Amino acid sequence: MAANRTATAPGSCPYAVFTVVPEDWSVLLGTLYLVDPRRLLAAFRQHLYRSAMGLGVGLEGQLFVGVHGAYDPATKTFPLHLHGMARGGMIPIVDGLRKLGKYRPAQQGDGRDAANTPVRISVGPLSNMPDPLTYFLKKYWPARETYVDEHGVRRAYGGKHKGISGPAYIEYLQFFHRWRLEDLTMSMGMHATQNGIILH
Amino acid sequence: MRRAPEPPPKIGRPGITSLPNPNPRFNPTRSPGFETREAVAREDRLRAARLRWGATKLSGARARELNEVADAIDPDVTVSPTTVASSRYMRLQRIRIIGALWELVYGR
Repeated sequence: MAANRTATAPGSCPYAVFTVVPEDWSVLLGTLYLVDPRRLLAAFRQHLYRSAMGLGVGLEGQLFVGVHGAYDPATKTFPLHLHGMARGGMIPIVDGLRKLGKYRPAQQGDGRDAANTPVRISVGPLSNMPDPLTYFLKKYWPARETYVDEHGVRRAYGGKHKGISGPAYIEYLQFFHRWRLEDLTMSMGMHATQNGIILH
Repeated sequence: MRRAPEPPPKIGRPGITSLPNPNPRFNPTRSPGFETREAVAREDRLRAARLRWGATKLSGARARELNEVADAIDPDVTVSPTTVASSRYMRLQRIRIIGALWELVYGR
């Protein structure tokens, strides 16, 4: 039986689910094998330290993130990003990422590899459980085609996401085969054991 | 050409994959949208078939590599997969991780 020990009273701590898309995390088709997800997560950890320093706070609370990706047939890239959950003091630190240069939104014609909304965070009670928790450990990477709108900003087409096909599909499966789940996820302020999640 | 990063050793300190099966109250398979055992086995068969088809277009070490991944995923070859590329393995891990986080959110 899972035995999650909470250091604080259950329900007293707010939660947030978030998606972050750091700049320059898109990977060209054919080069996914060069990506080391441990380095991406180490870089993200540094971003959190810098955000906490900017806010003048220490790293408190808990966080769990997973590396996720999609395939954009229009640009032949895998835009990598992170989906995660933050708890307690980690929520303002994740929110504070917006102030870092690495999380500046894409602007018209700036030519940067940046997302339109690099930090998306939803704070509050989690409802319709466990659906929000399935978000940061998804079943598969989708194909997500983009286009350039009349303002020169790249946007994704709406509608239902399809699966990846062709050489990109094989490359993505080989990438997954290469790494362990421990390399594709990161937790802070807590760790997993054979008895469940232990909070620090 | 840059070299690919060294893959991690398959052994090491237990991490997120060491979580136990969740308390039945927090088992995400109760959710109607959660993938079924049959669906992930079908998905693994499809993945293995597509990898093997990809291998026919290649030769030598690259073809061998794709066939190895296909074998590691294919339900007819590997009963208990241990690769993230397998839908069946990911279902098992998703049940444990999502279950543990769900229990964390709600407390005991």
